[in-house]
Amino acid sequence: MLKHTLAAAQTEGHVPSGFATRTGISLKPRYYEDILAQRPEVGFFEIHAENYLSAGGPARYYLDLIRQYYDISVHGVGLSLGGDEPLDVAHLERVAALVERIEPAMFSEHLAWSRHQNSFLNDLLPVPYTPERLQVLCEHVDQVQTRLKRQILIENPSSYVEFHSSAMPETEFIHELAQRTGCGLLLDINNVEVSCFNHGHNPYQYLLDFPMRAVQQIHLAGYALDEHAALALKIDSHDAPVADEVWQLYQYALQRIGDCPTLIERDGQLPELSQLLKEAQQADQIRANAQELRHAN
Amino acid sequence: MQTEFHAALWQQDKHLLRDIKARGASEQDSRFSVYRNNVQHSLIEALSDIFPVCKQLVGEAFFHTMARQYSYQTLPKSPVLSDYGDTFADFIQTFVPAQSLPYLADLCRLEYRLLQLTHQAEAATLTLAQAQQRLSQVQQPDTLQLTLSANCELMQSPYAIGSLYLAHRQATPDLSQLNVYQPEALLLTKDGLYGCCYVISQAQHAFLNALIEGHRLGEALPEDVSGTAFDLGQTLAQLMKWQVFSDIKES
Repeated sequence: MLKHTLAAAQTEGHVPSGFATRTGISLKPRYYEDILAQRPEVGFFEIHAENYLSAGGPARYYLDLIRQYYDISVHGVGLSLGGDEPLDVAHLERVAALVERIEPAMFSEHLAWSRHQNSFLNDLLPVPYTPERLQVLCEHVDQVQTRLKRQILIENPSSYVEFHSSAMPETEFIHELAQRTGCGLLLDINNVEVSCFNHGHNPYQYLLDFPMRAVQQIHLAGYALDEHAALALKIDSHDAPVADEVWQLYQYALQRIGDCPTLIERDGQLPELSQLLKEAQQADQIRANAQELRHAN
Repeated sequence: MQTEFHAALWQQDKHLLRDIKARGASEQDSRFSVYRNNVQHSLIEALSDIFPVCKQLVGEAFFHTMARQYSYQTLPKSPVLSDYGDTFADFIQTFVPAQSLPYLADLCRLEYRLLQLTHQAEAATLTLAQAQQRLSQVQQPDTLQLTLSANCELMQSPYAIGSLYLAHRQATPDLSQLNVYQPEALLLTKDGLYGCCYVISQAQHAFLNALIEGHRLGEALPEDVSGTAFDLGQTLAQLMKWQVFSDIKES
C-alpha cells in the first residue's frame, strides 16, 4: 500500500555524509515526494524535533526514508532551555528517543524559553542576560547534553526587546554559556541581522564580538519588515528568501571562521523545492569562494 | 520574570513593560506586541492545521475569531502541537456565535481524532487476500474471533459529520444531497499513513462495538437495530476491503 519501502533504500548501501561539506535545507512535508523522486544534491535536511515525535504517520515514514540518503540535523524548538522552571523531562525523553533512532549529524536548540507552568507558548521568548539566568541555562544545557550523550549547539536568538535588567551583552552571555557547558553554537545570521536592526546595533560588530570558535553550524533565513507600529522592526519570519544583507554578513562570518555547515531555513510561504536548492547552491558558492580566499592568504 | 511575561502575553503588564528598553510607552508596546502576535498567530495557525474542514465550513474570519478566543483560554500543554485542540470541540459548544451550527463541535471531534490516528503507529492488518483465506477455512463461524486493529475506533453523532467531512475532502465539495441533521455512525481507522473515516450503519456500529469488546462472531451479531437490516456478508466484505482486521481466527 505504501509507495516506498525502507528495504529498497537500504540495498543501495549509501552512507549519507553531506552535513559538513554541502549546504542543507529545511525538511517540509510538501517536499517529501520531490526529494525521493529527484534525490537533489543537497548536503542535509534539518527537521524540527517536535514535528517528528509521533509513532507513525507520514512524518516518521518519510523521515526514515530520507535519512537513508541524506544526513539529518535535528533542531529542537520546545525544550524551553532558557526557562526558569525545571525542564519537561517527559519531553526531553521523547526528543532523546528521536535522536537515538535517527542518529542526526547535529542537534541544536535555542537560547529562549517557551514553557510556563503547564502551558506551552509556542514562541521563542527572550531571556534577560543576568548571572542567575546564565546559571539556570547552563544547568539545562548540561542536563540535555548528559541525556542525549552528545554535545549540542545553542542558537543565538532573534529579539525584539532588550531588558534593563540584563547585566551583560548577548555575545558575552553566549560566550559564557559555551565556556561553562562545552556546548557548541549555532550562529543564525538572520537573527543577527534582525536583532541588530531592532536594537540599533552594528551586525558586523556583533559578529566580531561573537565567540566564533564555538560555532559549528550556521542558519540563513529570510525576515519580514514590519512598519505598521510606532517603530519599524525586522521579524524573524522564515517565510522569504535570504536577504542580501544577510548573504553579506554570511560572507563576513565565513572569513572569520572558515568553512561551516550551513542551513537554508524556511518555514513559511514555502517555494518550490528547486528555489530552496538554488539558495543552498548560492551558499555553497560563497563557501567555496571563502575557502579559496583563505588559502590564497 | 517569566510569570510576568506570561501574564503580559495576554494582557498589558506595566511592570514587565518597564523592563523593556525603549524611548517611551508606545515603543515598549510595539516591541512587546511582536511576541504577543507571534504566540497568537502561531496558535491560530496550529488550530487551522488541525481543523481544516471546520475552517473551510465557517470561513477564515469566523475561524480566526473562534481560534483566538480558544487560545486565550487554553494554551497547548505540550510542544507537540498536533496534540493541541483536544478541548476545541467542547469550547465550540459553548461559543455563542457558533450555536447556529450545532454539528460543528462533533465535526471538530472527528477531525481531532483523525489527526491523532494519523500520528499513531500503523498497526499490522490482514490484507484482503489474507482475510479471505482465513474466512474460507472456517469450520464453525459462530466461534470466530474477528480482531479489529489498534487503529480502529467508533464514533456516533446526531449529525452527519462523516458525510460532511468526506464531502469537504473533495476538490469541489457538493453538499446539495447532504442532510447534515441526521444521525451517523462512523468507523475511524488508518488508510496507509493517514487517519480516515467510513460512514457505517447503526447496526454495523453495534456489531463493531461488540467485536471491540471481544465478543465472538455469534455473540456480536446485532439485534434488529432501529429497523435497519444487518447484512453480515456485505459487512464482512466491506471490512476486509478496508483492511481493518489484525486477526481472524476460531476460538
